[in-house]
Amino acid sequence: MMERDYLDIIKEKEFIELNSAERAELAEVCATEEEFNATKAMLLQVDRIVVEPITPEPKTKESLDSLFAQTYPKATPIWYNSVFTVIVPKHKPVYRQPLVQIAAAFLLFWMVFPFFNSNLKMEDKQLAIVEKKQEEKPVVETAESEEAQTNENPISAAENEQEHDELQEAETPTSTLVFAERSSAPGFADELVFSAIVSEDEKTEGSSTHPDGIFMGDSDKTIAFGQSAQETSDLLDLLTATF
Amino acid sequence: MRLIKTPYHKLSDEEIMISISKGDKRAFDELYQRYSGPLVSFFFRLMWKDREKAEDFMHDLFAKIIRKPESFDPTRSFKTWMYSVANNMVKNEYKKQEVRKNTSNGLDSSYAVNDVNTNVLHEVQDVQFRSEFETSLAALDDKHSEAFKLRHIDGLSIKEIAEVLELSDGTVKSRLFYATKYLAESLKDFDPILNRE
Repeated sequence: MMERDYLDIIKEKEFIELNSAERAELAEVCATEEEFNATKAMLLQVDRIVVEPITPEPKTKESLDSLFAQTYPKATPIWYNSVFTVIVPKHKPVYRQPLVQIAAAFLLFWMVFPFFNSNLKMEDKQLAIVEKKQEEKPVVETAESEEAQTNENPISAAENEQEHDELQEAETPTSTLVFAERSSAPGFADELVFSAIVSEDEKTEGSSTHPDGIFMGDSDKTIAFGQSAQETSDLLDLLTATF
Repeated sequence: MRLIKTPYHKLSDEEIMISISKGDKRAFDELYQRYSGPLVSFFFRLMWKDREKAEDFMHDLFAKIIRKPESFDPTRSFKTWMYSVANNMVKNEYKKQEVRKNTSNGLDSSYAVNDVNTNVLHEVQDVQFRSEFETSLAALDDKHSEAFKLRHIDGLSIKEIAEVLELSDGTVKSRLFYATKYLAESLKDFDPILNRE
């Protein structure tokens, strides 16, 4: 809005309507009523004759348009420009830009996922330990394991039988051997099923009770033989000669 | 994000200039729409009513806006800045020509009476007054007539004229007082309003 000045006052008011401040302001231009009216008439007539702005020729605009196009060439429309416009809008703050949000979500997932993964592994380990313990409990040797061995090697089974007979002859004063019964069943004729109970006295840690010095395990219930091979030199010779 | 942009015709000149500096073609079109006509008229009046020259000067001014929009200081009024540039262009042209053409005494074609139904007497009076007015204005020295034209024909305020001409408000006011008093005195015998009544 243009600031009103003394010319507006002259055009809008009559001389008698002027207040003292306005008369003082206009004193330099028109002190008397006659001068005031002459000035007013002239200004109003000037407003009448002021012509409308001239309309420029279209060729001027065309020339300016081409100049504008040269000065500000439009970027070639590339598909990723439109994509970037959506995912990286310039007018949005960084934390509201879709690309940043997606990256943040991915980073969060990448940081948190290993924790979930490690928990799963720990559970698996624990389960494996439990199963192992369960397997170890029935350590009391059953004939099944021996049976498998004998089936695999019939020669050694026969030798075992021979050994068994020789051992039967030899008495062991320190241990009470309870040799298992031979199975009377027809299918199990050659199978030797035995179990041994070793008295508490006989238990010696780290020493072998097998006639050949073979270590049979550390379980207190699984030692099969109580007499060492060293004590019976005849048997030792026999065994070494055989092998 | 605003879904609907503010219409360009509601933007200020200064906001439009900022958009132009970013390569906004529609902003430039709006600015051209606003000022091309007044600028051609301004140059036409000051360039000895040479229409072609007025168009060329207007073109040059808008070309300057396109090429160097940063030359405009957004803290200033665009209208004032634009008229300052236009005024300097005219001054340079005057220096180049060294001789200023006399204002035409005849009627301009744009002032032709087209409406046959209008009061012919009034039209004649207007034509007579215009002739007298132009003669009186030409008799004024440049500094006074320039201030008067900027105020009454281009519609600038005293403050804007002061900025365009790089003068103080008081000096502009003084020049306007002088021009007004001179013209009123010269045209006091010509009172078209009284004649009509």
